[in-house]
Amino acid sequence: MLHNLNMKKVMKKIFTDLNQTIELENLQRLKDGTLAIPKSEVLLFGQMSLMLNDSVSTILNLIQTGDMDAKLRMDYFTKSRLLELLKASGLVYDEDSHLVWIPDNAKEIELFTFKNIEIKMIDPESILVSKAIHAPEKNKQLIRQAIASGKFPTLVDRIIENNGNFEIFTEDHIE
Amino acid sequence: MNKKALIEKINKLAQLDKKRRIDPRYLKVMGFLVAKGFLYINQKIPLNPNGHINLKDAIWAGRFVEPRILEVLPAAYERFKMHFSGDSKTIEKIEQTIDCVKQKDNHKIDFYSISIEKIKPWFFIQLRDGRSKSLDKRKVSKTFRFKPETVDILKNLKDQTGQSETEILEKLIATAKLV
Repeated sequence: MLHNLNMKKVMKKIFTDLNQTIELENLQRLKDGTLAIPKSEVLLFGQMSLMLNDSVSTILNLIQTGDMDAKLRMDYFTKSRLLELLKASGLVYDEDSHLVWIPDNAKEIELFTFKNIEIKMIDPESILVSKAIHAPEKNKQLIRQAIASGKFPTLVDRIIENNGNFEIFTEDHIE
Repeated sequence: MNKKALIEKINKLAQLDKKRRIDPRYLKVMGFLVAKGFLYINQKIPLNPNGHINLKDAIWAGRFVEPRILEVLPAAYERFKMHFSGDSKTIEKIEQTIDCVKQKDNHKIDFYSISIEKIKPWFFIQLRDGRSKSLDKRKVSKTFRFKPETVDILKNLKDQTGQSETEILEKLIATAKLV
């Protein structure tokens, strides 16, 4: 039995359901004469954004936990529903996402656009720079593979520019 | 070491990493953790949901191939203990980590350099099998001493409502909490 659960399909389903939930809630609010929920925005980063990026998925061997790092711009109702939908799929929103450092010159890439919610992600090289600087131990195999692939032309320079400790990537394992 | 030498060394290690990703020890533990829903992977790998995992192999795979294995291993061990075996020292280390999570003690120890904060969330996720319960959903055994009259009332309520005695008590406690 082989397996590669398509994370993109899982996330698309979650955000489709979330969009539908907001749509129904807005219809009710319209009937009640109360304010509708404004359009929400999700900016994904971390391993999840690499996993959802088709161009990276063919270059790197990606493993992820059920952790979703993202910047959320949404109201309480929408966030609560999103957390429920994630939980039902065995995923967890990392409430410490605001602590994730994103390097300068990072680009935002559109992932899904719905009527009530827009989902973007940070470009893969910037994610790799962020991981190399702030969680090098956990990502050393990933960074090595990315460097060896030659597909991220400015990765090494950006790690150096941001004072990354390159020696870590030449060490073999976690103590 | 200059930049060129560093990159050469990194390229060599990347080749070694590639070999390790086809090591049976890694594939076996990943097949188990992916099948259960603790980890996700973008490659096709053989699933191993009923496999037996040697903790020594799992720790090797975590240290040399994929550190995220170490992040979820204590939770996987706690929920599927029967699938794991290992020497007493390793079991003691993993059980200490589990106790730390259960006692909500976040700072005492780490598990192969992975902090308790990183390990903890995976004890509470909903898994793909839908059968094994997460730590916060699991029932806890507790003994109470009731008056015989109270026991009779509880039995009557059970017969009348078709609910278990535990369900009746849980509902009463939930109502009391709201007041």
